[in-house]
This record gives sequence, structure tokens and C-alpha cells, in this order.
Amino acid sequence: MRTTSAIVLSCLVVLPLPLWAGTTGASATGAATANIVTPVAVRQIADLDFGMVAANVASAGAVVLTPGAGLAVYSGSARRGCVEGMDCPAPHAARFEVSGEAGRSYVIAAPERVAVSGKVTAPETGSEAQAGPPAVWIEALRFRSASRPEAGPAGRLDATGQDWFELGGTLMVPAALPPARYRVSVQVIITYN
Amino acid sequence: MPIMITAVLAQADPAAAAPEGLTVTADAQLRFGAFIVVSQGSRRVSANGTVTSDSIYPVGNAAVGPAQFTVTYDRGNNNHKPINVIFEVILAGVSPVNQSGLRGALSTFDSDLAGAGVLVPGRAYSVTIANCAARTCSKTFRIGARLDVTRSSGGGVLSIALPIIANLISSEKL
Repeated sequence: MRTTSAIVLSCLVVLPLPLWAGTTGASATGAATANIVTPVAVRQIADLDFGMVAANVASAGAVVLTPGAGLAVYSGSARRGCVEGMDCPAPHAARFEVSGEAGRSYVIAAPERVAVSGKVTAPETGSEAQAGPPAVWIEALRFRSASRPEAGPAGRLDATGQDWFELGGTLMVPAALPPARYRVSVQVIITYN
Repeated sequence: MPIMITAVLAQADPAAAAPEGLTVTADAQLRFGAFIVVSQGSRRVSANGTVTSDSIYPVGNAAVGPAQFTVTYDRGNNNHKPINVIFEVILAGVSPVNQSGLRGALSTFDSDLAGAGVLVPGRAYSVTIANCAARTCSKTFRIGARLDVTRSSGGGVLSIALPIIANLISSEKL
């Protein structure tokens, strides 16, 4: 009787080493993730306008509009061409509104130098014609964002995903520039960084 | 007297009584990174890490890579006799997600498991861990997929569950 009991108990010790298992399952849940970023958008609010500029025929000049400063600074022979009684728009920097994902930083890209062509309006017919050379240039385009005014061409969207920036530059007025209305479109590109 | 011997054996190797089993761990998410979608776009992150995109604009340096899972077999004792462990892996149903102007859907799954280059949700794929001579043996594998995103407004973080099921088929002594 004792021998029989011993055999049975030994089998119990060996049995937990199975050769074949039953179906034993386990599971885990991972995840696929993607951060879909709200596209950045920019909207022009105001043009970069150097106003009415007068210059001497014999010498060149320049007009500097610094973003955030508000006033035009004239040098060389350039001066404000608006006289008493004329309805002249005040010179001002361009202004843009930026919207996108809250808290995200962005950078601004624009050409370093832009040639500006002039149009002359014939008083008799009112038709426009291309003004002759020399060309007018806008150089040293400068940016100032509301969020990061000292960062140059960069900004950061606020908690509501909004910001704005101003664009200024230097208008180079060559000597012997024919009187005309000078206008150019400048493409400004905003990208997240 | 035989009863006392049995008690001594049990105390010397308490693990001998543990049942064998599998565990699955999710080691890494399937990461599609950060990007802009104007209206519709897709990005595919393959199991081998290859990334292809269509109509999306990547933003920043957010990590991109396949999901990684590890299935671990525990034989339940410290016997070191070599065995072949066979189990099946199933990617359970994966549902699209909709949230505030965004819709994301996964498709075209792949993995680096032998015989499961194309991974169809709901289908079982057999995996073998050959010559397992330790108490625990594991198999790590990666899963890739294509994410299609439709955006009507805004942005946000899309998160789609990837449920992995592993069932032990056999642990065959060599």
C-alpha cells in the first residue's frame, strides 16, 4: 500500500512538464498614431506702401520702412513727395495675419531683393504704359512678428493659433527716375519649423 | 514517507507547477509622424521602416517607424530541454477613427514575420520559435501599414488601436 502511494505522488511531480499544450492565448493592444497638423495660412491685411516719394534727377536716394516703427526714413535725395493739400496715403509696412496650429512656430521666406516696375498713365487717354529705366529696387526686406518681434522672419502662433507680422524694406530710388506709379507683388511664404 | 519526499520536491522547484503560457507586449507604436494634410493624403510606414507619402507635408522631426510587438513563451518550469514552440498571431479588426474634422483609416498591413509579409486583419499566421532551450523564449516582430487621412478642418492626434492576439498551438519537445 505504501509503495503504491509513492508511485502516484511521483507522477504528480513529473506531470507539469507537458509535451503538448492546449490553446493558451494572450493579447496586447498597440496603437498607430499620427499628428495631423493644421495647415498654416497667411492673409494679407495691408500692402507695403512707400507713399509718394520725390527725388532729385541728378542723385539717388532711399526710403526705409522698418516694420513696427511706423515712420518712413528718407535718405539721399529722396523725400516725401506729398505736399500740402494733396491726399497722400501715409507710408506703412505691410501687414499679414497668420493662422494655424496653436503654439507652433513658423518661419517666413521672401526674396532678398525685388525689382519694381513703373506704370505711366497718359493724361489724355488714361491708358497705362510701362515706365522706362532705370529700375526701382526694394532691398533688405525685414520682418517683425507680434509674437517674436526680435526674431526676424519667424513667429509663434498663440493659444488660439493666431499671430501677425509686418514686412518692411528699403526702397532704392535711382537718379533720373521717371515719374510713375511703381508697384510689384512679392510672394511671402510661411512654413512651420 | 513518500508524502514527505513529494513535499521536498515541490519546495525545491516551485515553478515546476506553473502552467506554460504566452504574453504579448506592445513595444513600439506604429508612428506616422507629424504632417499636414490639406484635404486627403496618405502615408505608408512599412515593417522594414520604409516611408512613402502621398499628398502630405511632413512637419518637424517627429519619429516615424513601424509598430513592434514581442510574444514571449514561458514553459512554466526550468527544464532546458529544447522544444519548438508554435503559436499563431492575429491582428484583430482595426477600425477607422473619426474626430473633429479628421478621419484616419489603416490598411495594407505588412510584417516582418516569415509568411506574413502581407498581414490581413483577422487571419491567423503561424509562428515558430525553434529550439527553445530556456524557460522563456520570445519572438519580436514589426508591423507596418498605410494610413489614409481625410481632413475637413483643424488638426489633431489620430490614434488607432492595433490589437494583437497570440494563441499557443504547441510546444513540441525535440
